[in-house]
Amino acid sequence: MNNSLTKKSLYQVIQKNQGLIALLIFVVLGVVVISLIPPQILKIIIDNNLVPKNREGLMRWAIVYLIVLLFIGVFDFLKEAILTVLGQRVTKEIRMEMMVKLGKINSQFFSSHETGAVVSRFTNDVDAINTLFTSGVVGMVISSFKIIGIVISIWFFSYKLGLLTLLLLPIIYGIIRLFQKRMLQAQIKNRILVGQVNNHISESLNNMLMIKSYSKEKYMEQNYNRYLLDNFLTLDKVNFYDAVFSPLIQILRAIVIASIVILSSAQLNFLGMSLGMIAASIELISNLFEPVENLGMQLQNIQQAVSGVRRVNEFYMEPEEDGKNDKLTAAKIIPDRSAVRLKFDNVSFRYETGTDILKNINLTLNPLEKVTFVGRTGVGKSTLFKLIMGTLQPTEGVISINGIDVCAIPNREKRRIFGYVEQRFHFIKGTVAEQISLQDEGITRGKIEEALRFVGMMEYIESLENSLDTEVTSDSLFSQGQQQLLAIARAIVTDPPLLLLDEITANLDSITEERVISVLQKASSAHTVLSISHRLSSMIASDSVVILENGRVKNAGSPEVLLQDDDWFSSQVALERLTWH
Amino acid sequence: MKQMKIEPLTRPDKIINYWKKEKTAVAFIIIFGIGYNTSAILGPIYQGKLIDALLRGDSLNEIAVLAVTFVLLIAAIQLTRYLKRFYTRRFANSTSATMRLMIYNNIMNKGFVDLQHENTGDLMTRALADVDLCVDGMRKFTTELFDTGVLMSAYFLTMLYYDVQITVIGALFIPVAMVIAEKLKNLIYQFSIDYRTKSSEITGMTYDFIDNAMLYRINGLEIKTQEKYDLELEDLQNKAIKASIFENSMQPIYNVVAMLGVIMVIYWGGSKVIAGSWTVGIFSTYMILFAALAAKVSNAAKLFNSVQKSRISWQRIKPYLTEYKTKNTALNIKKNHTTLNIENLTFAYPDAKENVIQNITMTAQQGEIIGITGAIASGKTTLGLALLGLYPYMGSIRLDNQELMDYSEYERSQMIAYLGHNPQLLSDTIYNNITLGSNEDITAVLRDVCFDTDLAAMPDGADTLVGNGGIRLSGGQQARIALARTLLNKRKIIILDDPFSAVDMQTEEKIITNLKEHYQDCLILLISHRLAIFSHIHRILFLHPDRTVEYGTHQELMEKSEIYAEIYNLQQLAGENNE
Repeated sequence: MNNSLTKKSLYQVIQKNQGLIALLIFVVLGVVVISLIPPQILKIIIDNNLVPKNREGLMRWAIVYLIVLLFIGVFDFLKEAILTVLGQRVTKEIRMEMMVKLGKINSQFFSSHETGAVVSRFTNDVDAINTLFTSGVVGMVISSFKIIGIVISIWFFSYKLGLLTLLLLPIIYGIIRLFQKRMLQAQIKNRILVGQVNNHISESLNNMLMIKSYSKEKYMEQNYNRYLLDNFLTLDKVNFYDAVFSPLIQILRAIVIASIVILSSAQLNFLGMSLGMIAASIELISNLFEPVENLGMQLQNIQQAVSGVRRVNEFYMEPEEDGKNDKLTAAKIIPDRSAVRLKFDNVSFRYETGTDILKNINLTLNPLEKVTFVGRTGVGKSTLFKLIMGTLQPTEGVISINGIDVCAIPNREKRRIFGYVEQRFHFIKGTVAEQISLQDEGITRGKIEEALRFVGMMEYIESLENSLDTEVTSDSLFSQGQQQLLAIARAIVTDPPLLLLDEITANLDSITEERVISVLQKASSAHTVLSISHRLSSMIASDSVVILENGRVKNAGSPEVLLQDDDWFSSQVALERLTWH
Repeated sequence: MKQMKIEPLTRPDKIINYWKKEKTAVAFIIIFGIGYNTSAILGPIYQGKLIDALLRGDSLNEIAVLAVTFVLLIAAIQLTRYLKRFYTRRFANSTSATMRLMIYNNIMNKGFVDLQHENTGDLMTRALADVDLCVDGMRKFTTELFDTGVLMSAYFLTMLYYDVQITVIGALFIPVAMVIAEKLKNLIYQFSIDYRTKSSEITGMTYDFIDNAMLYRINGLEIKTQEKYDLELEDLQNKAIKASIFENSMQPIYNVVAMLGVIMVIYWGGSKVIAGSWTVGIFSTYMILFAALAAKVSNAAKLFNSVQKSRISWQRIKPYLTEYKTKNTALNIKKNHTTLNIENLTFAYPDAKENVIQNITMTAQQGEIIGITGAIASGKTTLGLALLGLYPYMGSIRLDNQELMDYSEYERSQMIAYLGHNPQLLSDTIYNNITLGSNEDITAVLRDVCFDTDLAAMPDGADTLVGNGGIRLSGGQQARIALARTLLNKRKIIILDDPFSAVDMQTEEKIITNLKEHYQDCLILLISHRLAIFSHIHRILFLHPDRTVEYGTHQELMEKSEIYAEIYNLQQLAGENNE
């Protein structure tokens, strides 16, 4: 826990909730002290009333007993409630910090981390920290205090029994830990097998065509049966420990009680306690088992949560984007949209893993030029776009717009400069209108409608139940082609001077493709357009074509010239005219 | 009791059958459950006797005997308790395995078209979580029967035996606690539903923000998403606090309410001791019983809740719990002299309006390799799938002079081997991926797909694990393992849909040669857009975008079809760069 985020968040929560923390400390002390009182009252009742057969004060002690129970109930309730509140606040604090971090994290993070794994850091790992805090650390403090309180109480009755209890403690703890460790081992083993069982199902569903076509249902089921059986057997072991643990504790407790009674017999009278004290001691020792047992569990919770803490802190230490100049605005960079000059100055890019993607790219684009980048898949075309938008930083060289390094452009300005359309439309959670505005309140409803009308989607959207305010709950509300039209609307709604089109027709049939292309053709006149395509027939009319090969510019020029000069390009164009690929 | 297999269950949609199936475990649960819960009262009684013995000043010997008896008694009681607990858990464990097996069997035996229709993956994961919840409820229901029913009655009867008046009045508040818990139940349930809904909403939102992080970043909207996230987290926090406080922190309160009668117990009980009709030991025994009863009651509410929850889960998994099915494996097919006659084959996907293939007519026979090619979306892949017989079609596909649809699904799978674009590897060893449980020798097929050299470089050889979906292998290796599987499980007809896109040209050519030489007893249909290899095979079916087709040898098509010849030549020119 010596790393920053967890510590920082805990510290902040403590800072903001000083009153609550004080109350918690009070309540914890209260719980510890008050829960020691009932055995004392029992002792008094037995010694003062029952043994000497004296009625006096019996009613009073009965009432006090109930009041103490009431206090225990209330304090227990408060303790749980405060811990819940604090735990949840810590959770919230950490999650929020992580989200802020996500906004600053270097873009390379996203290419090397799966979404699911990152989400699990936000959910499971943060929950683990909550557990660590509430049932781990605070729980341990409470358990320890309880144990100390019980030992002190017994010590007052008889120092000999107090000493014996102290001797007994490590033995009880040792036995309990041994069990807990064995059980944890079995649980871990079982958890792996549960993963195997679940994985087999998704695997079966993914490979259904193969299974059906070979009639291997039986084989798959046999494998599943085997996994289930393994799972059954390991769980049986977990169940053994689980089932035997509490009975064992009860037997242990009976032995301790029997020993106290024997030691207190009139003949031995080793402990020198009154009958009330003996009864109270039995009660106290019975209560000793619970915190000892909890202590073991809490220790285990902490151990398990530590890996979650580590992952969260690791996330917090991920490198961030830098070099942003917050003073830059879109208007300052591009005062005149017909004079946008994009320049690549000896740009190379290599991933952290060391693989070279782009090498020494030098290009200068004229204002309002239409450029298409072509080349085999994996040649680095998409990386090039990310570099242009400044979401990735070149390893060497600079990409600039009107002389300004794109990496310095703050993110909030980017939408006013770049309109980026990808191969796949990414839905966000929200309404149809929000798919276009991306919940940017600066974009008026009129603008949204205008953009949708431009791409010819308004009519369809008006036919939806709530028109623009229809909640998008599944991808199937729009066909592939419509999704691409929405993507274009999303890109042009802010009227950016530069359009970046990344394989936008890759998933479309030819009729839809034509429609998309014609919309883009219409939009392109007032824009500098950069597009990526591995299907050349589907590219919009370009002023120039850049052919990339092995990370370098292999050839560049007008399509007419390339058709003459470049064998690869000309045969590729011919093949695609025949819709071949 | 070691089972070697999880056995299926008849009438799995009747919940009572799961108890019937686990007869032994259930019998033990009943025996030990009743045994434990009726004898459990002896613990507090003997503890009281020990105190009385001390009070009487019994001799050390007598006390020692009593103490040992006490320990032995507790040991015996706890042994039955252990057995009860263990068998209840085993019952749950077996039941969960049986349910999972039955659900799996149900899914695996659904028709291919049905499976495409539903979002099975999503349903499955939900169904599995529901199995856990359901079984948990079943287990708690089983223990509740004893712990809450038998144990509480045993305690209550013993208390009545000691004193009717104290018991009746003292325990008066116990039902009050139960009523409060019952009344709050719906509220708590609502809070916990609210919390869970919000929690999954937040998870979805987190997923959205992370998955679309670049989208938000490029559009400069990260600050906005953060503000929104902050508000939502605040809401989640409040809901979590509410749900958690009501669900977990109320227990001490219930307990206090149930214990309200303790005043009477202490006062009257104490009075009875003073009057001499009770001993101190009985007083102590009674106090223990009373506290235990109150604690059980405050727990019971939680128990009822989880049983309630499990009923909803049961309703959700019930549709998947159908009779155990096995595929009919009766086989009535010809062994050799394969002939394939396709006449006016027309095919549309279920729900789609347009035909993907139309009026295809062709014949082919054993020993031939037929190439199928065409432009994008000309129906190449669809034709391959149609020939598998997984979808209904129009026109006629006759295999050995019998209509494809008249064969059973099993018979079709024994006549046609299929390999699609996706290698569909299982996270298992290379050997198991190829043999799929048939224990055959794979040396020959590995050589046919040119994997022998790859294998030699692997320290574990054929026992190398391929990883999830084959992730530990390269794309080309995955494709060749999948091809090896197809060849090992070769049938009269082998359909290969573009298996070589991740394999280099040279290897592709070598594999084709191997296929030609070693698989003459098969009819191979090879779907591809790379025409280079087509010059080495028997005939080619050329699909045009306008749904017309041409069928002939490579030579014939080169002469007859301008487009075919043009594409062939262009591909030769573009060479390896063509993708």
